[in-house]
Amino acid sequence: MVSGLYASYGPIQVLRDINFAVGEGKMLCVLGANGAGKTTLLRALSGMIPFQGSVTFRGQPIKGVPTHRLARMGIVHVPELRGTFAELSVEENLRLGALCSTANQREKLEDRDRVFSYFPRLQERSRQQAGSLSGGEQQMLAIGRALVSRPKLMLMDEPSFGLAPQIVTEIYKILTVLKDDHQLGVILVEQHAALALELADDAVVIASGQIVVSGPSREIKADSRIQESYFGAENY
Amino acid sequence: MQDFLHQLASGIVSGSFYGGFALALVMVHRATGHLNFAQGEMATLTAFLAFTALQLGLPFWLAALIASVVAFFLGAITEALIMRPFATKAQIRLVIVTIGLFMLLNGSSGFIFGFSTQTVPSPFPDSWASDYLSAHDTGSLIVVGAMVVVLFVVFRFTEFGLAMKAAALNPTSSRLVGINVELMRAIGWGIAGIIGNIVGLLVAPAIFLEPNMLLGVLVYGFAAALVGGIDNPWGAAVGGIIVGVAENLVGAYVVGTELKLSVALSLIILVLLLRPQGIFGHRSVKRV
Repeated sequence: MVSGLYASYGPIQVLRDINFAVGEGKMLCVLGANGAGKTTLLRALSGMIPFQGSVTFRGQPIKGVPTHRLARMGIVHVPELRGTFAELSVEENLRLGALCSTANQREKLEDRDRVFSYFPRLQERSRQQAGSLSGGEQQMLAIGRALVSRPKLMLMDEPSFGLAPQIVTEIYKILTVLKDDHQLGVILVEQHAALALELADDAVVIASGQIVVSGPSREIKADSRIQESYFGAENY
Repeated sequence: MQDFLHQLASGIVSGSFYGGFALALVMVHRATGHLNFAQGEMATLTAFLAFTALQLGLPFWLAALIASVVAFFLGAITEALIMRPFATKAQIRLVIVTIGLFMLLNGSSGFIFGFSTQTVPSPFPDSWASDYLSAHDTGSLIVVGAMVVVLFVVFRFTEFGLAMKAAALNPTSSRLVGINVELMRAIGWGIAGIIGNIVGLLVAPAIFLEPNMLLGVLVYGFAAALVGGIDNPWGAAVGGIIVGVAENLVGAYVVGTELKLSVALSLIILVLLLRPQGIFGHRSVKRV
Protein backbone atom coordinates (compact mmCIF):
# COMPACT_ATOMS: atom_id res chain seq x y z
CA MET A 1 0.00 0.00 0.00
CA VAL A 2 1.64 3.18 -1.16
CA SER A 3 0.15 6.61 -0.79
CA GLY A 4 1.50 10.03 -1.62
CA LEU A 5 5.06 8.86 -2.19
CA TYR A 6 7.67 11.43 -3.23
CA ALA A 7 11.33 10.64 -3.82
CA SER A 8 14.32 12.60 -5.00
CA TYR A 9 18.03 12.25 -5.64
CA GLY A 10 19.41 15.32 -3.91
CA PRO A 11 17.68 18.35 -5.40
CA ILE A 12 16.20 16.41 -8.31
CA GLN A 13 12.61 15.38 -7.70
CA VAL A 14 12.10 12.03 -9.36
CA LEU A 15 8.74 10.79 -8.11
CA ARG A 16 5.65 12.83 -7.24
CA ASP A 17 2.49 11.75 -5.47
CA ILE A 18 2.60 8.05 -6.24
CA ASN A 19 -0.37 6.01 -4.97
CA PHE A 20 -1.12 2.33 -5.46
CA ALA A 21 -1.77 -0.93 -3.65
CA VAL A 22 -0.71 -4.51 -4.30
CA GLY A 23 -2.54 -7.46 -2.83
CA GLU A 24 -1.19 -10.90 -1.87
CA GLY A 25 -0.83 -13.12 -4.89
CA LYS A 26 -1.26 -10.14 -7.19
CA MET A 27 1.14 -8.73 -9.70
CA LEU A 28 1.37 -5.03 -10.45
CA CYS A 29 3.43 -3.94 -13.39
CA VAL A 30 4.99 -0.51 -13.52
CA LEU A 31 5.42 0.74 -17.05
CA GLY A 32 6.97 3.84 -18.49
CA ALA A 33 9.78 5.14 -20.62
CA ASN A 34 13.45 5.23 -19.64
CA GLY A 35 14.04 7.73 -16.86
CA ALA A 36 10.39 7.89 -15.84
CA GLY A 37 11.31 6.90 -12.27
CA LYS A 38 10.42 3.20 -12.24
CA THR A 39 13.69 2.01 -10.75
CA THR A 40 13.62 4.87 -8.24
CA LEU A 41 10.24 3.65 -7.06
CA LEU A 42 11.58 0.16 -6.33
CA ARG A 43 14.65 1.56 -4.64
CA ALA A 44 12.47 3.68 -2.38
CA LEU A 45 10.28 0.69 -1.51
CA SER A 46 13.28 -1.43 -0.49
CA GLY A 47 14.79 1.33 1.63
CA MET A 48 17.77 1.97 -0.62
CA ILE A 49 16.85 5.64 -0.96
CA PRO A 50 14.78 7.84 1.36
CA PHE A 51 11.28 8.96 0.41
CA GLN A 52 8.50 11.22 1.65
CA GLY A 53 4.92 10.11 2.00
CA SER A 54 3.55 6.96 3.50
CA VAL A 55 4.14 3.33 2.61
CA THR A 56 2.68 0.50 4.63
CA PHE A 57 3.55 -3.16 4.26
CA ARG A 58 1.12 -5.64 5.83
CA GLY A 59 -0.21 -2.84 7.99
CA GLN A 60 3.18 -1.58 9.14
CA PRO A 61 4.69 1.73 8.06
CA ILE A 62 8.10 1.15 6.50
CA LYS A 63 9.38 4.67 6.15
CA GLY A 64 13.00 4.93 7.32
CA VAL A 65 13.35 1.17 7.92
CA PRO A 66 16.81 0.08 6.68
CA THR A 67 17.07 -2.25 3.69
CA HIS A 68 18.34 -5.28 5.60
CA ARG A 69 15.44 -5.06 8.02
CA LEU A 70 12.90 -4.78 5.18
CA ALA A 71 14.43 -7.90 3.65
CA ARG A 72 13.80 -9.71 6.92
CA MET A 73 10.20 -8.44 6.91
CA GLY A 74 9.71 -10.11 3.53
CA ILE A 75 10.28 -7.41 0.93
CA VAL A 76 12.80 -8.79 -1.50
CA HIS A 77 14.23 -6.62 -4.23
CA VAL A 78 15.74 -8.20 -7.34
CA PRO A 79 17.57 -5.21 -8.75
CA GLU A 80 18.41 -4.26 -12.29
CA LEU A 81 21.43 -6.26 -13.49
CA ARG A 82 20.39 -8.88 -10.91
CA GLY A 83 22.69 -8.09 -8.00
CA THR A 84 24.02 -11.61 -7.60
CA PHE A 85 27.31 -12.20 -5.81
CA ALA A 86 29.56 -12.75 -8.82
CA GLU A 87 32.51 -14.06 -6.80
CA LEU A 88 30.46 -16.64 -4.91
CA SER A 89 29.10 -19.92 -6.15
CA VAL A 90 25.49 -20.50 -7.17
CA GLU A 91 25.04 -22.59 -4.04
CA GLU A 92 26.44 -19.83 -1.82
CA ASN A 93 24.20 -17.24 -3.47
CA LEU A 94 21.20 -19.36 -2.61
CA ARG A 95 22.42 -19.81 0.96
CA LEU A 96 22.68 -16.03 1.25
CA GLY A 97 19.16 -15.66 -0.09
CA ALA A 98 17.91 -17.94 2.65
CA LEU A 99 19.62 -15.94 5.41
CA CYS A 100 16.51 -13.96 6.20
CA SER A 101 14.16 -16.89 5.79
CA THR A 102 12.48 -18.03 8.98
CA ALA A 103 12.45 -21.63 7.78
CA ASN A 104 14.45 -24.29 9.59
CA GLN A 105 17.48 -26.01 8.08
CA ARG A 106 15.53 -28.83 6.46
CA GLU A 107 12.93 -26.48 4.98
CA LYS A 108 15.71 -24.32 3.63
CA LEU A 109 17.12 -27.30 1.77
CA GLU A 110 13.65 -28.05 0.40
CA ASP A 111 13.34 -24.42 -0.73
CA ARG A 112 16.66 -24.73 -2.49
CA ASP A 113 15.63 -27.94 -4.18
CA ARG A 114 12.41 -26.30 -5.30
CA VAL A 115 14.45 -23.55 -6.97
CA PHE A 116 16.52 -26.25 -8.66
CA SER A 117 13.33 -27.88 -9.89
CA TYR A 118 12.15 -24.59 -11.40
CA PHE A 119 15.58 -23.91 -12.89
CA PRO A 120 17.42 -27.22 -13.45
CA ARG A 121 20.31 -25.37 -15.06
CA LEU A 122 21.19 -23.82 -11.71
CA GLN A 123 21.59 -27.24 -10.19
CA GLU A 124 23.99 -28.28 -12.94
CA ARG A 125 26.06 -25.20 -12.19
CA SER A 126 25.64 -25.06 -8.43
CA ARG A 127 29.39 -25.04 -7.77
CA GLN A 128 30.26 -22.46 -10.41
CA GLN A 129 30.91 -18.82 -9.61
CA ALA A 130 27.76 -16.80 -10.28
CA GLY A 131 29.81 -14.36 -12.36
CA SER A 132 30.53 -17.11 -14.88
CA LEU A 133 26.85 -17.78 -15.63
CA SER A 134 25.08 -16.46 -18.69
CA GLY A 135 22.73 -13.49 -18.34
CA GLY A 136 19.64 -15.71 -18.34
CA GLU A 137 21.09 -18.06 -15.74
CA GLN A 138 22.04 -15.11 -13.53
CA GLN A 139 18.47 -13.86 -13.71
CA MET A 140 17.24 -17.32 -12.74
CA LEU A 141 19.68 -17.28 -9.84
CA ALA A 142 18.47 -13.83 -8.79
CA ILE A 143 14.87 -15.04 -8.76
CA GLY A 144 15.86 -18.23 -6.99
CA ARG A 145 17.77 -16.29 -4.39
CA ALA A 146 14.76 -14.06 -3.80
CA LEU A 147 12.48 -17.06 -3.53
CA VAL A 148 14.42 -18.99 -0.89
CA SER A 149 13.97 -16.02 1.45
CA ARG A 150 10.23 -16.86 1.46
CA PRO A 151 9.25 -13.30 0.60
CA LYS A 152 5.82 -11.74 0.84
CA LEU A 153 6.50 -9.03 -1.72
CA MET A 154 8.92 -9.28 -4.59
CA LEU A 155 10.23 -6.20 -6.39
CA MET A 156 11.50 -7.13 -9.84
CA ASP A 157 13.44 -4.64 -11.89
CA GLU A 158 13.47 -5.45 -15.61
CA PRO A 159 14.04 -9.17 -15.43
CA SER A 160 13.97 -9.30 -19.22
CA PHE A 161 16.85 -6.86 -19.62
CA GLY A 162 19.42 -8.08 -22.11
CA LEU A 163 17.95 -11.57 -22.44
CA ALA A 164 16.88 -13.57 -25.47
CA PRO A 165 13.07 -13.62 -25.93
CA GLN A 166 12.94 -17.37 -25.41
CA ILE A 167 14.58 -17.12 -21.98
CA VAL A 168 12.37 -14.19 -21.05
CA THR A 169 9.28 -16.27 -21.76
CA GLU A 170 10.66 -19.12 -19.69
CA ILE A 171 11.43 -16.85 -16.75
CA TYR A 172 8.05 -15.14 -16.86
CA LYS A 173 6.22 -18.42 -17.03
CA ILE A 174 7.90 -19.48 -13.82
CA LEU A 175 7.33 -16.09 -12.24
CA THR A 176 3.56 -16.40 -12.63
CA VAL A 177 3.62 -19.93 -11.24
CA LEU A 178 5.60 -18.67 -8.25
CA LYS A 179 3.22 -15.84 -7.64
CA ASP A 180 0.23 -18.17 -7.51
CA ASP A 181 1.96 -20.95 -5.56
CA HIS A 182 3.37 -18.72 -2.86
CA GLN A 183 0.66 -16.05 -2.66
CA LEU A 184 3.40 -13.63 -3.52
CA GLY A 185 2.80 -9.97 -4.22
CA VAL A 186 4.93 -8.83 -7.14
CA ILE A 187 5.79 -5.35 -8.34
CA LEU A 188 7.28 -5.72 -11.76
CA VAL A 189 9.11 -2.93 -13.54
CA GLU A 190 9.29 -3.65 -17.23
CA GLN A 191 10.10 -1.91 -20.50
CA HIS A 192 8.48 -4.66 -22.45
CA ALA A 193 4.87 -3.46 -22.03
CA ALA A 194 3.04 -6.12 -24.02
CA LEU A 195 4.58 -8.96 -22.05
CA ALA A 196 4.11 -7.29 -18.68
CA LEU A 197 0.44 -6.47 -19.33
CA GLU A 198 -0.13 -10.06 -20.33
CA LEU A 199 1.06 -11.32 -16.94
CA ALA A 200 0.13 -8.65 -14.44
CA ASP A 201 -3.21 -8.19 -12.73
CA ASP A 202 -2.92 -4.43 -12.53
CA ALA A 203 -0.73 -1.83 -14.12
CA VAL A 204 0.40 1.71 -13.57
CA VAL A 205 2.11 3.88 -16.15
CA ILE A 206 4.62 6.41 -14.91
CA ALA A 207 5.63 9.40 -16.99
CA SER A 208 8.10 11.97 -15.67
CA GLY A 209 7.69 10.84 -12.10
CA GLN A 210 3.90 10.72 -11.91
CA ILE A 211 1.31 8.04 -12.38
CA VAL A 212 -0.59 8.94 -15.52
CA VAL A 213 -2.62 5.78 -15.98
CA SER A 214 -3.61 3.04 -13.59
CA GLY A 215 -6.05 0.17 -13.69
CA PRO A 216 -6.45 -3.50 -14.46
CA SER A 217 -3.96 -4.69 -17.09
CA ARG A 218 -6.75 -6.02 -19.30
CA GLU A 219 -8.30 -2.58 -19.70
CA ILE A 220 -5.00 -0.86 -20.31
CA LYS A 221 -4.08 -3.47 -22.84
CA ALA A 222 -7.37 -2.95 -24.65
CA ASP A 223 -7.17 0.84 -24.68
CA SER A 224 -5.50 1.80 -27.92
CA ARG A 225 -5.13 5.46 -26.95
CA ILE A 226 -2.94 4.55 -23.96
CA GLN A 227 -0.96 2.22 -26.14
CA GLU A 228 -0.21 4.93 -28.64
CA SER A 229 0.58 7.73 -26.23
CA TYR A 230 2.82 5.87 -23.79
CA PHE A 231 4.31 2.77 -25.29
CA GLY A 232 4.78 3.55 -28.97
CA ALA A 233 4.93 0.86 -31.59
CA GLU A 234 8.43 -0.50 -31.07
CA ASN A 235 7.69 -2.13 -27.72
CA TYR A 236 4.77 -3.91 -29.13
CA MET B 1 72.31 -30.74 10.12
CA GLN B 2 71.50 -30.15 13.77
CA ASP B 3 71.90 -26.44 13.20
CA PHE B 4 69.72 -26.56 10.11
CA LEU B 5 66.91 -28.27 12.02
CA HIS B 6 67.13 -25.67 14.75
CA GLN B 7 66.87 -22.91 12.18
CA LEU B 8 63.95 -24.66 10.56
CA ALA B 9 62.12 -25.09 13.87
CA SER B 10 62.61 -21.50 14.91
CA GLY B 11 61.52 -20.43 11.41
CA ILE B 12 58.31 -22.39 11.81
CA VAL B 13 57.66 -20.84 15.22
CA SER B 14 58.20 -17.26 14.10
CA GLY B 15 56.24 -18.19 10.98
CA SER B 16 53.31 -19.15 13.17
CA PHE B 17 53.37 -15.67 14.71
CA TYR B 18 53.37 -14.11 11.25
CA GLY B 19 50.65 -16.45 10.11
CA GLY B 20 48.58 -15.79 13.20
CA PHE B 21 48.92 -12.09 12.70
CA ALA B 22 48.10 -12.48 9.02
CA LEU B 23 44.84 -14.09 10.13
CA ALA B 24 43.84 -10.81 11.74
CA LEU B 25 44.65 -8.97 8.50
CA VAL B 26 42.67 -11.54 6.51
CA MET B 27 39.75 -11.11 8.89
CA VAL B 28 39.60 -7.34 8.35
CA HIS B 29 40.00 -7.83 4.64
CA ARG B 30 37.25 -10.44 4.56
CA ALA B 31 34.87 -8.20 6.47
CA THR B 32 35.56 -4.84 4.86
CA GLY B 33 37.91 -5.31 1.90
CA HIS B 34 40.50 -3.10 3.60
CA LEU B 35 43.95 -3.47 5.12
CA ASN B 36 44.52 -2.38 8.70
CA PHE B 37 48.04 -1.09 9.28
CA ALA B 38 47.21 -0.38 12.92
CA GLN B 39 46.43 -4.03 13.69
CA GLY B 40 49.78 -4.61 15.39
CA GLU B 41 49.50 -1.53 17.55
CA MET B 42 46.00 -2.47 18.68
CA ALA B 43 47.37 -5.86 19.69
CA THR B 44 50.33 -4.29 21.50
CA LEU B 45 48.03 -2.05 23.51
CA THR B 46 45.84 -4.96 24.61
CA ALA B 47 48.92 -7.11 25.33
CA PHE B 48 50.13 -4.39 27.70
CA LEU B 49 46.72 -4.44 29.31
CA ALA B 50 46.82 -8.22 29.76
CA PHE B 51 50.28 -8.20 31.33
CA THR B 52 49.31 -5.34 33.62
CA ALA B 53 46.37 -7.44 34.78
CA LEU B 54 48.79 -10.34 35.26
CA GLN B 55 51.01 -8.17 37.47
CA LEU B 56 47.97 -7.30 39.54
CA GLY B 57 47.73 -10.99 40.35
CA LEU B 58 45.04 -12.20 37.93
CA PRO B 59 45.51 -15.68 36.44
CA PHE B 60 46.81 -15.72 32.86
CA TRP B 61 43.62 -17.00 31.23
CA LEU B 62 41.53 -14.31 32.90
CA ALA B 63 43.96 -11.57 31.90
CA ALA B 64 43.92 -12.89 28.32
CA LEU B 65 40.13 -13.03 28.32
CA ILE B 66 39.79 -9.45 29.57
CA ALA B 67 42.30 -8.25 26.98
CA SER B 68 40.42 -10.13 24.24
CA VAL B 69 37.12 -8.53 25.18
CA VAL B 70 38.76 -5.10 25.18
CA ALA B 71 40.43 -5.94 21.85
CA PHE B 72 37.07 -6.90 20.33
CA PHE B 73 35.46 -3.63 21.32
CA LEU B 74 38.55 -1.58 20.45
CA GLY B 75 38.39 -3.06 16.94
CA ALA B 76 34.62 -2.82 16.54
CA ILE B 77 34.39 0.73 17.87
CA THR B 78 37.34 1.89 15.78
CA GLU B 79 35.57 0.55 12.71
CA ALA B 80 32.24 2.10 13.62
CA LEU B 81 33.50 5.53 14.64
CA ILE B 82 36.69 6.10 12.68
CA MET B 83 36.65 3.88 9.59
CA ARG B 84 32.96 4.07 8.68
CA PRO B 85 32.93 7.72 7.62
CA PHE B 86 35.64 6.82 5.10
CA ALA B 87 34.02 3.61 3.89
CA THR B 88 32.78 5.08 0.63
CA LYS B 89 35.94 7.06 -0.03
CA ALA B 90 38.99 5.99 -2.01
CA GLN B 91 41.04 3.10 -0.61
CA ILE B 92 44.11 5.31 -0.18
CA ARG B 93 42.33 7.43 2.41
CA LEU B 94 41.56 4.37 4.49
CA VAL B 95 45.17 3.31 4.29
CA ILE B 96 46.24 6.72 5.55
CA VAL B 97 43.67 6.64 8.34
CA THR B 98 44.95 3.27 9.56
CA ILE B 99 48.53 4.55 9.42
CA GLY B 100 47.40 7.52 11.52
CA LEU B 101 45.82 5.07 13.96
CA PHE B 102 49.06 3.12 13.98
CA MET B 103 50.97 6.18 15.17
CA LEU B 104 48.31 7.20 17.65
CA LEU B 105 48.11 3.76 19.27
CA ASN B 106 51.87 3.26 19.21
CA GLY B 107 52.34 6.56 21.03
CA SER B 108 49.52 5.76 23.47
CA SER B 109 51.06 2.42 24.45
CA GLY B 110 54.36 4.15 25.18
CA PHE B 111 52.68 7.01 27.00
CA ILE B 112 50.54 4.80 29.22
CA PHE B 113 52.84 1.82 29.83
CA GLY B 114 56.31 3.28 29.23
CA PHE B 115 58.92 2.60 26.56
CA SER B 116 61.16 0.33 28.63
CA THR B 117 61.27 -3.31 27.57
CA GLN B 118 59.86 -5.86 29.99
CA THR B 119 60.22 -9.60 30.10
CA VAL B 120 56.94 -11.41 30.54
CA PRO B 121 56.28 -15.04 31.49
CA SER B 122 55.01 -17.72 29.13
CA PRO B 123 51.64 -19.25 29.99
CA PHE B 124 52.68 -22.76 28.89
CA PRO B 125 54.10 -25.40 31.32
CA ASP B 126 57.81 -26.32 30.99
CA SER B 127 56.91 -29.93 30.33
CA TRP B 128 55.82 -28.94 26.81
CA ALA B 129 59.45 -28.39 25.77
CA SER B 130 61.14 -30.78 23.36
CA ASP B 131 64.48 -31.08 21.51
CA TYR B 132 63.85 -28.40 18.98
CA LEU B 133 61.00 -26.42 20.50
CA SER B 134 60.71 -24.62 23.82
CA ALA B 135 57.51 -24.94 25.84
CA HIS B 136 56.42 -21.53 24.63
CA ASP B 137 57.13 -22.47 21.00
CA THR B 138 55.01 -25.60 21.27
CA GLY B 139 52.16 -23.74 22.96
CA SER B 140 52.25 -20.96 20.37
CA LEU B 141 52.05 -23.42 17.48
CA ILE B 142 49.05 -25.13 19.07
CA VAL B 143 47.21 -21.86 19.72
CA VAL B 144 47.80 -20.48 16.22
CA GLY B 145 46.85 -23.82 14.68
CA ALA B 146 43.60 -23.80 16.65
CA MET B 147 42.78 -20.26 15.48
CA VAL B 148 43.30 -21.27 11.85
CA VAL B 149 40.98 -24.24 12.22
CA VAL B 150 38.28 -22.19 13.94
CA LEU B 151 38.36 -19.42 11.34
CA PHE B 152 38.40 -21.89 8.49
CA VAL B 153 35.35 -23.69 9.85
CA VAL B 154 33.51 -20.42 10.46
CA PHE B 155 34.14 -19.11 6.94
CA ARG B 156 33.64 -22.39 5.18
CA PHE B 157 30.64 -23.87 6.90
CA THR B 158 28.63 -21.23 8.74
CA GLU B 159 26.05 -18.77 7.45
CA PHE B 160 27.72 -16.12 9.59
CA GLY B 161 31.02 -16.56 7.77
CA LEU B 162 29.27 -16.49 4.41
CA ALA B 163 27.35 -13.35 5.35
CA MET B 164 30.57 -11.67 6.39
CA LYS B 165 32.23 -12.57 3.10
CA ALA B 166 29.20 -11.34 1.16
CA ALA B 167 29.08 -8.04 3.07
CA ALA B 168 32.62 -7.26 1.94
CA LEU B 169 32.14 -8.40 -1.66
CA ASN B 170 28.89 -6.63 -2.39
CA PRO B 171 27.39 -4.41 0.32
CA THR B 172 24.34 -3.41 -1.74
CA SER B 173 23.25 -6.93 -2.58
CA SER B 174 24.05 -8.00 0.98
CA ARG B 175 21.58 -5.51 2.37
CA LEU B 176 18.99 -6.82 -0.07
CA VAL B 177 19.36 -10.33 1.35
CA GLY B 178 18.96 -8.99 4.88
CA ILE B 179 22.56 -8.67 6.05
CA ASN B 180 23.35 -5.81 8.42
CA VAL B 181 26.51 -4.79 6.59
CA GLU B 182 27.62 -2.18 9.13
CA LEU B 183 27.34 -4.67 11.98
CA MET B 184 29.31 -7.27 10.00
CA ARG B 185 32.13 -4.84 9.40
CA ALA B 186 32.35 -3.90 13.06
CA ILE B 187 32.28 -7.57 14.12
CA GLY B 188 34.99 -8.37 11.58
CA TRP B 189 37.25 -5.72 13.07
CA GLY B 190 36.38 -6.95 16.54
CA ILE B 191 37.33 -10.55 15.74
CA ALA B 192 40.52 -9.35 14.10
CA GLY B 193 41.23 -7.47 17.33
CA ILE B 194 40.91 -10.70 19.32
CA ILE B 195 43.18 -12.60 16.93
CA GLY B 196 45.77 -9.81 17.03
CA ASN B 197 45.58 -9.74 20.81
CA ILE B 198 46.21 -13.47 21.08
CA VAL B 199 49.22 -13.19 18.77
CA GLY B 200 50.48 -10.26 20.85
CA LEU B 201 50.22 -12.37 24.00
CA LEU B 202 52.22 -15.12 22.28
CA VAL B 203 54.88 -12.80 20.87
CA ALA B 204 55.56 -10.82 24.06
CA PRO B 205 57.04 -13.74 26.07
CA ALA B 206 59.08 -14.81 23.02
CA ILE B 207 60.73 -11.37 22.71
CA PHE B 208 60.06 -8.46 25.04
CA LEU B 209 56.97 -6.46 25.85
CA GLU B 210 57.49 -2.95 24.48
CA PRO B 211 55.49 -0.52 22.33
CA ASN B 212 57.24 -1.52 19.10
CA MET B 213 57.25 -5.27 19.67
CA LEU B 214 54.88 -6.09 16.79
CA LEU B 215 56.47 -3.79 14.22
CA GLY B 216 58.46 -6.60 12.60
CA VAL B 217 55.56 -9.01 12.92
CA LEU B 218 53.34 -6.49 11.09
CA VAL B 219 55.63 -6.42 8.06
CA TYR B 220 56.10 -10.19 8.07
CA GLY B 221 52.38 -10.65 8.68
CA PHE B 222 51.58 -8.60 5.59
CA ALA B 223 54.08 -10.66 3.64
CA ALA B 224 52.42 -13.83 4.97
CA ALA B 225 48.93 -12.64 4.05
CA LEU B 226 50.02 -11.66 0.56
CA VAL B 227 52.01 -14.84 -0.03
CA GLY B 228 49.16 -17.06 1.12
CA GLY B 229 46.31 -15.03 -0.34
CA ILE B 230 44.61 -12.22 1.54
CA ASP B 231 41.18 -13.87 1.51
CA ASN B 232 42.13 -17.28 2.85
CA PRO B 233 42.88 -18.31 6.49
CA TRP B 234 44.82 -21.46 5.49
CA GLY B 235 46.76 -19.41 2.99
CA ALA B 236 47.65 -16.84 5.63
CA ALA B 237 48.88 -19.53 8.02
CA VAL B 238 50.92 -21.39 5.42
CA GLY B 239 52.15 -18.05 4.06
CA GLY B 240 53.33 -17.23 7.58
CA ILE B 241 55.28 -20.47 7.84
CA ILE B 242 56.83 -19.91 4.39
CA VAL B 243 57.88 -16.40 5.31
CA GLY B 244 59.20 -17.46 8.73
CA VAL B 245 61.22 -20.38 7.38
CA ALA B 246 62.54 -18.40 4.41
CA GLU B 247 63.51 -15.53 6.66
CA ASN B 248 65.37 -17.80 9.08
CA LEU B 249 67.14 -20.00 6.54
CA VAL B 250 68.07 -17.21 4.14
CA GLY B 251 69.08 -15.08 7.14
CA ALA B 252 71.27 -17.84 8.61
CA TYR B 253 72.91 -19.18 5.45
CA VAL B 254 72.71 -16.52 2.73
CA VAL B 255 72.35 -12.85 3.58
CA GLY B 256 72.99 -12.69 7.35
CA THR B 257 70.63 -11.56 10.10
CA GLU B 258 70.87 -7.85 9.28
CA LEU B 259 69.16 -8.35 5.94
CA LYS B 260 66.44 -10.72 7.20
CA LEU B 261 63.69 -8.16 6.74
CA SER B 262 64.55 -7.80 3.08
CA VAL B 263 63.54 -11.46 2.61
CA ALA B 264 59.97 -10.61 3.56
CA LEU B 265 59.90 -7.57 1.32
CA SER B 266 61.34 -9.52 -1.62
CA LEU B 267 58.69 -12.17 -1.11
CA ILE B 268 55.96 -9.51 -1.21
CA ILE B 269 57.31 -8.13 -4.48
CA LEU B 270 57.78 -11.57 -6.03
CA VAL B 271 54.26 -12.70 -5.16
CA LEU B 272 52.67 -9.48 -6.36
CA LEU B 273 54.54 -9.81 -9.65
CA LEU B 274 53.96 -13.49 -10.30
CA ARG B 275 50.74 -14.38 -8.53
CA PRO B 276 48.91 -11.31 -7.22
CA GLN B 277 46.09 -13.33 -5.66
CA GLY B 278 48.61 -15.23 -3.47
CA ILE B 279 49.53 -18.89 -3.60
CA PHE B 280 46.23 -20.13 -2.24
CA GLY B 281 43.94 -17.24 -3.17
CA HIS B 282 41.72 -17.72 -6.14
CA ARG B 283 41.20 -15.28 -8.91
CA SER B 284 37.62 -14.20 -9.36
CA VAL B 285 35.98 -14.80 -12.70
CA LYS B 286 33.72 -12.17 -14.13
CA ARG B 287 31.72 -12.43 -17.28
CA VAL B 288 31.03 -9.20 -19.09
